[in-house]
Amino acid sequence: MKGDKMHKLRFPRRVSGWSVAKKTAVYVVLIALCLTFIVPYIWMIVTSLRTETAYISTGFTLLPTNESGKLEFHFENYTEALTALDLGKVFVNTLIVCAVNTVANLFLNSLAAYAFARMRFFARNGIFKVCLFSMMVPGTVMLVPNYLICDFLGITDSLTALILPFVMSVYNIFLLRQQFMGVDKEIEEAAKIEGAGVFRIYFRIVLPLVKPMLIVLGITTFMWNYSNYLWPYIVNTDPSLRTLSTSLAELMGADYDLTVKLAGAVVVSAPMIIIFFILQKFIIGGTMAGAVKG
Amino acid sequence: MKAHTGQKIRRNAVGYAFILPLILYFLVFQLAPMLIALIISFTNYSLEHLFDYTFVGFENYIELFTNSVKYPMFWSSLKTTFFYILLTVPANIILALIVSALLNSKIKGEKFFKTIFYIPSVTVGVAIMVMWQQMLAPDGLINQIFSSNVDFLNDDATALTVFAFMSIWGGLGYNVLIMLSAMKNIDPSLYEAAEIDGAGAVQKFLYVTVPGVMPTIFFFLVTGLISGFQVGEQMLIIYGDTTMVQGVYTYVYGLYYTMRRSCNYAVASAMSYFLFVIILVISLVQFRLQNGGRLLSRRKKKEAVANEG
Repeated sequence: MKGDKMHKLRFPRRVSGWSVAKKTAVYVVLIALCLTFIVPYIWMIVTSLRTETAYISTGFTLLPTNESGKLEFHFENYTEALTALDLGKVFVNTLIVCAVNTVANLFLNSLAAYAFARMRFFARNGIFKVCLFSMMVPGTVMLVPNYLICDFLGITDSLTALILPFVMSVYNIFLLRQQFMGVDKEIEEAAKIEGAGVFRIYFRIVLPLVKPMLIVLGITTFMWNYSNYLWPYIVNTDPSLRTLSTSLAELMGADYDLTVKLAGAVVVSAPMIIIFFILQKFIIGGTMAGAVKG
Repeated sequence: MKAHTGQKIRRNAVGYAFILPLILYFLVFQLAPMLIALIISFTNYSLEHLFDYTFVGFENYIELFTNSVKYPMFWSSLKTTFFYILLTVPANIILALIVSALLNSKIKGEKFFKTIFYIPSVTVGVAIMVMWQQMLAPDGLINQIFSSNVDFLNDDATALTVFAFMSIWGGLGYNVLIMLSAMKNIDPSLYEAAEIDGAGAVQKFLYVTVPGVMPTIFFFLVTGLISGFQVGEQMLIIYGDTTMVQGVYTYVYGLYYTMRRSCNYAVASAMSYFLFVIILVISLVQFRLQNGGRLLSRRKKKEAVANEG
C-alpha cells in the first residue's frame, strides 16, 4: 500500500495509464478462468433438466429448452435419478456414517489431543511420535490392510465397516493438540485450585476455548465422509449399504440417459456445495489450518 | 515418598484414560492391518486359496517385479503413474503461482474468485466425474465447443492428459488458497526495494514472489508426488474396475484391479507395501530436506534452555 503511493508520487501519469490496462488484462484472465469453473456446473444443471434428444440436437444452451428452443423443464429426470439412486436408503446410510464419524472424531480426537498437549504420563512423547509416523501411511496404502482387518473382524458388508476405520484421525489429533497448547495454562490452574477435576476442566473450560477448531474439523470430517468413495466401494458390495458416492457411481455406469446421470450428480453434490456457501469461512479456515502445518 | 508414587500412578491413569481410545484405534486399525497385510503379502492368500493358503516367501514381490507374463502391467503402470505426475505437478505449481499473483495484484473480488475456484474441492468426487464424463463424451460440451469428435476418455492418446487436466482443474482452488496466503506473507518492503531498483511486474514476480513462496512450492512438489503416486480413484470411477484404455492404467488402478477384480489379496498387499515404500522414501527425503535445519535449531534451543537451568 505504502509502496504504491510512493510510486504514484514519482511517476503519476505513466503508472496510472499502465495500471488501468494491466488491471483490465488481469480481470479478463481471471473472469475467463472463472468461466471454466462456472460453465461446467451451469451445463450440468441445465442439461439435467432437458431431454436427451433436445440436448443432442441443439447442444449447449443457457436455459433448459426443447428441440425448437422453447423453455421446458424436465423434472422427471430427477424423479428417475432419485429412484435409480435409491436415494432414501442411500441418504440415510450416508447420514449415519457422517454423523457418527463426525461426533466420534471430535470427542475421541480431542481427548487424545488434550492428553498429549497437557498431561504428563509414561511414554507420552513416544506414543505421540509413533502416531505421527503413522500419518505417513497414506489412505491408499491402508485400503487393502483395512479390508483385511475388517474381513478378519467379520464386519465387511456393514455400516460399521464404514465407521470404525475412520472413527479417529491422527491428523486431527495433531491439529487439536496445537490448539490446546495455545490455551493459557493459568485458566486451567485457576480451575484446579478451585477444586475442579480433570474431566470437568477439560469439558467445561478447555473444550469451549477451541470451539472454532472443533467446528472446522467437524465440517471437514463430515464432508470427507460424505464424498468418500473408495472405501465403501472396496469394503461393501451389498447394494442396500451403498452411500451417495457409491450409488452415484453405480448410476453412472448403468444404462441411463445422460440427463438422468447429471440429475443424479446434481442431487448428490448440491448439499455440500450449499453448505460450502453457508459455512465458507470455516471450510476455508480448515484448509488453511491443514496446510500451515505442512 | 508414598504420596508421590500414588500421585504419579494417578497421573498416569488419567493420561491413559484420555488416550485409551486412540491406543485401541491405533492397534486395531493402524498397526494390526499393516501387520496382517505384511504377513499376507508373503502368502498366496487369494480367492482360490481362501482356506488353504501357504507361505510363499518373497514370491509375490519377485513375480511382480520380474514376471511380465503374469503381471504385464506392473512396470507400465508405474510408467503411466510417472507420466501423470509429470503432467500434473509442474502445471499445478505454475498455475497456482500465476493465478495467485493475479489475485494478489490488489484487485477487487479476490474473495469471489477464490470461492468460485474452490467449488470443485467441495463437490463430491463422483459427481465431478459424472460431469466431466458427459462433457468429454463424443457428443459432449467440449466436442461441441471445438466442433470435433474425439472420444477423449476412451482414446489412449488423450485419456491420461484428460485425467491430468481434470485433476489440475479440481485442485486449483485449494492450491491458490495456500499459495495466495504464502504470497501475502512476503515482506512488502522487499517489493518496495525492488520497485526502487526499477523492477517491473514480471521481475518482481520472478525475483521477489517466487523466492518468497519457495517453501510452498516445495510443499506442492512433495504433496503432488505423494498424491500423484496414489492416482487411480478417478479412473476407477470412470471405467469401473476394468478398462481397455491402457493409457490410464496407473499403479493404484492396478492395485484396485488386483483387489476387487482378481481378488488376489496377497498380491494386492504386496503392491500396497511397494507403494508404501515409494511414498515413505518421498516423505523421508522431504523430512530430511525441510526439517534438517529446523530440528537442528530446536536442538540448539533445548541446549540453551538446559544451560540456563
